[in-house]
Amino acid sequence: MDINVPQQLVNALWLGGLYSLFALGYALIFSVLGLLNLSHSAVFACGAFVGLYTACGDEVFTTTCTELDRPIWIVIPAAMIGAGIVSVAVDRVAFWPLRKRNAPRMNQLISSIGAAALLVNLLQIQFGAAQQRFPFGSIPNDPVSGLPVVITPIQITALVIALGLMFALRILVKRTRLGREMRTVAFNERVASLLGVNVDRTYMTAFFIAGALAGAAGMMYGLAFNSMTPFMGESVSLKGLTVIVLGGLGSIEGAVIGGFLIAAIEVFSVALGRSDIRDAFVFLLLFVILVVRPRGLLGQGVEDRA
Amino acid sequence: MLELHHVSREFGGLAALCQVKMVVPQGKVVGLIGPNGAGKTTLLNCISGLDSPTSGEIIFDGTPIHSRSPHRITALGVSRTYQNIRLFKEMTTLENVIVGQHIHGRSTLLHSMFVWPYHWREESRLKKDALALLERFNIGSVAHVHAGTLSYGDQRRLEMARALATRPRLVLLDEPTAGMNAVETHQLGEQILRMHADGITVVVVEHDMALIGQVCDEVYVLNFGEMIANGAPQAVKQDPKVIEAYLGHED
Amino acid sequence: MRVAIVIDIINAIFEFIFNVLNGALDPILTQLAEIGFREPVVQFMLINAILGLSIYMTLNCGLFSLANAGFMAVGAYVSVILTQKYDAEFGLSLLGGALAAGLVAIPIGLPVLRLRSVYLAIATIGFGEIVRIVVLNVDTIATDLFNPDEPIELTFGARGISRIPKLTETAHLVFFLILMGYLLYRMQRSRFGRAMTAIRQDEKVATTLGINVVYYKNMAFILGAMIAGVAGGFSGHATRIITPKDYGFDKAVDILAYAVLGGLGHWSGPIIGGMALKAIPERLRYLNEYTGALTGAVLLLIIIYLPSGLVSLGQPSFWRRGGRFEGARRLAGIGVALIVLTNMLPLRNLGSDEVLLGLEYWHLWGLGAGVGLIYWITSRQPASTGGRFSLPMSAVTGLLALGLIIAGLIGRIDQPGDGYYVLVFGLLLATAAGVIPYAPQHTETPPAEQVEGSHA
Ligand SMILES: Nc1ncnc2c1ncn2[C@@H]1O[C@H](COP(=O)(O)OP(=O)(O)OP(=O)(O)O)[C@@H](O)[C@H]1O
Ligand SMILES: [Mg+2]
Repeated sequence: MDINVPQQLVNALWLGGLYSLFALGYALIFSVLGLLNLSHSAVFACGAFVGLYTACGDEVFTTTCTELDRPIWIVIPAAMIGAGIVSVAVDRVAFWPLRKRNAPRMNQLISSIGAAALLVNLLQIQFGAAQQRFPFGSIPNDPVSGLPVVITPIQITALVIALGLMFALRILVKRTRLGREMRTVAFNERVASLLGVNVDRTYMTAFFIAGALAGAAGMMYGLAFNSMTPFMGESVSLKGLTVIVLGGLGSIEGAVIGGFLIAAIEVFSVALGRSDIRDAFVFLLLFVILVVRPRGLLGQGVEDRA
Repeated sequence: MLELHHVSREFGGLAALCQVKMVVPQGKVVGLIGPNGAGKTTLLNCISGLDSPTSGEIIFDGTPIHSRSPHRITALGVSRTYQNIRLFKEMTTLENVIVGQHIHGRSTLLHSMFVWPYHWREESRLKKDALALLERFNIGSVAHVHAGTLSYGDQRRLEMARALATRPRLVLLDEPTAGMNAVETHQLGEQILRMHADGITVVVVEHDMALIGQVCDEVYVLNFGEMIANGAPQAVKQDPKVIEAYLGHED
Repeated sequence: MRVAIVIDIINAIFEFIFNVLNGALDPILTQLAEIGFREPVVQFMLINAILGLSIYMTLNCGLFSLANAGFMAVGAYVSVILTQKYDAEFGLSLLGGALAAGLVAIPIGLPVLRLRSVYLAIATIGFGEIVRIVVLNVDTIATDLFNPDEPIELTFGARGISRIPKLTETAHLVFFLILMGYLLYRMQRSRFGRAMTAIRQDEKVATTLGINVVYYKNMAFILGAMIAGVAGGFSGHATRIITPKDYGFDKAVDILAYAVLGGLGHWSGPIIGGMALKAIPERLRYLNEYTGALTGAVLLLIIIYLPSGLVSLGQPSFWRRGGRFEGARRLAGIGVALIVLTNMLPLRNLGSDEVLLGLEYWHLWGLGAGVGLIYWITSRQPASTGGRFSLPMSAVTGLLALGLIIAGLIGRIDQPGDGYYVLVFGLLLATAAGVIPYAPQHTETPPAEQVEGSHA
């Protein structure tokens, strides 16, 4: 079989960037709260729609978008902020009351499902279930010329923004006071509050950042495939989970590496002509990793978390 | 009855146990003392199978048990209590003991589904035995109360009752009197002596020297994972190495 | 020859049972259909209840497994293939589905059950996806391997198996549910069940008490898989078509939601939860596009205000004032008051065919009466149980309940039957919620530190 390896690598790269970006939010919430936030994919979709709304205005509620009101470089930050706010709202509504009551983690998982259902359905009420897209020609779709591989400007933008955000997050977590506080809270909430960390604010920040990352991922996913539906999160939610397990639950670097790895597996199995069983590869890998090395590629010790 | 040969247990770089040698003769009450963090709990964990030594051998009644799973060690006749009480809090006092009798029941899911007479007979037998055990520890009156709501002393006593429910030949007690007052401690000492009278071998980890003097035939002293002394309780108290270990710990 | 006779006898017995059950179910089903729960909906409520039990089996043993959707798929496909391709009897095909699911569970459980909490959950999600993908591709793979000339068609890939005859009857489901309820009821009072509970509460202690943790965990996993397999068989023969995507990640999480929403404190919890999660969206269907959002909101409200699930409604402490559930109690009170008020005002001129909030008004009477009654019954707890005895409230709600029942009885004299059903519905609700024995898992025991602190 003939595979254009450099081309596939490029495809894996930008797709991996999006997956990583999405999974980073998952990982961040898991590392700080020890919680699988299944509403993360709904926040992802919210990001895309906030972006769409910013770009096209009220038009999107009634018909499809026909012209861009605002340029892309405003749309992406708007999507991030919007999704960040949604994410904080989800925390306040679905997780905070349970945290306050010390409810079992399993309850938080279920409430995140409730929140996801609520969000997706609200999106559907607002924007309809049909596919929404940016107007043709409004986003540059022609491959960049002069390169040996096919890549569109939007894909390059996606990759650059994804890498930039990952880098920013890394600095934030490793270098700043906020990051230190987050790590303390992740280690032990009680200890953190004894040390004078404002635990609640830390949670809110974590949720905002996670949401913003999901929003950016959602926006760029929507741009790159030029298709948005309220259910667009479904296609990435399981993938995000796989990514963070592969990288090691709660590990930031792991999420990045896992994202690129999953994208590579996907892209190459499609290129090999077995798109039908590409997911089987991914989940088999997930299964084997968990059984052989539950802490993932970069994770630390396995703790009791649910 | 129980022999430990060169038992070591390392956590990362830290040697919680180092070449520990110990012999517990049949039918004796053996004390195990040592400052905080000496490795006493780690030792009990190794014997009961919750932890396994990095190297060394643990022989119970001629059977090596250092690489056996805990439930099989229990089946051989070893039972234990925990320093930080670990009851089944959502079960009643009685149920806690009945769970302890697990290995002495034979009824299966099918028995109970078809309400086999055998099942009833076994249930009532186990219940009777369990109630007798509770009476013995003076907690019969709270048999149907949730274990989580019991008073601290009762919880400690229930832990011992549950440990005895497996009908062990060797009982490992990890600080059974922690948090008890002098009167309660003395009563607990009498319970230990009663086990002794029943022919059960006991290893008891304790900080309370009065209790050690009351019940122990022999005392082992652990410090920083090493067995530094053993002998009769009175003799050990005078041992300069032991005094140093404790004083060193205090400052 | 002999075998044939035995089979005949067994068939006769089952036929008898189902006839009796059908007789009892008919009037209930008619009533349910009248209030908007048609038979297919009821069937899926029952299937959900069975699924809830299947996951309860593992959760009760402390295993956070999400494999049940996968086992359901195995059961559904095996049993449908058995009836469609091999003309097997329905009962046998269900057995086949259960056995297949159980067999698959053995090699999966052994490596995976060592994992804890979230890791186990994710590994089992992975398993579920693998099942889905295998079902999706088994035809092509089998064709490639065995018979490249003539395509093998078992699962029909993404199209799924269609035109499945409806063999599942409500009576079958009720019978199986009763059977499983009995199994769990007996289990919790047996050595087997106690060992599982012990493992859930403290695995390490359980093992030092001589309990073979690996064995019990695997048994729980396999039993859960078999129950899910049967549920799959039932659901496969209740819809006309099954496709792999019916049993994906969403389903796995849904099944968990049945159990958690219903409550894990008692085996009736998952049954209630499973039924409620089918009934709620059905009940809210008239809201059209808002149904999904509102269902999500209801889910959130339940999980937040009733952290130990719907069964805590049956806990006396729920109805006590100032208790742990004060928020939920008030919310329920406000809800009932709203329903009652909005229905009392237009009482005079509300015709029998008018609906309010999508409910015919006499259902609301029944609901109000039921809730009032429960409140009345349970708020009469003696002061010694720790609750504050609240005479005025209980008297008021008691009178209200009584009034409602009387109103229900005489209110629709012109339409005989309604009042009676109001009464029955109310009483049923009251007894169900008030009398269900509640295994006090989350009773208000003081936290351990407090207990220790008071003695140290
Ligand atoms: N699981 C573990 N991982 C790492 N270190 C451990 C672990 N368990 C025990 N240790 C270390 O091993 C040493 C011995 O601990 P152990 O609990 O056995 O002491 P102890 O004698 O029972 O003390 P105490 O009197 O406080 O109960 C301690 O330094 C402890 O920190
Ligand atoms: Mg200790």
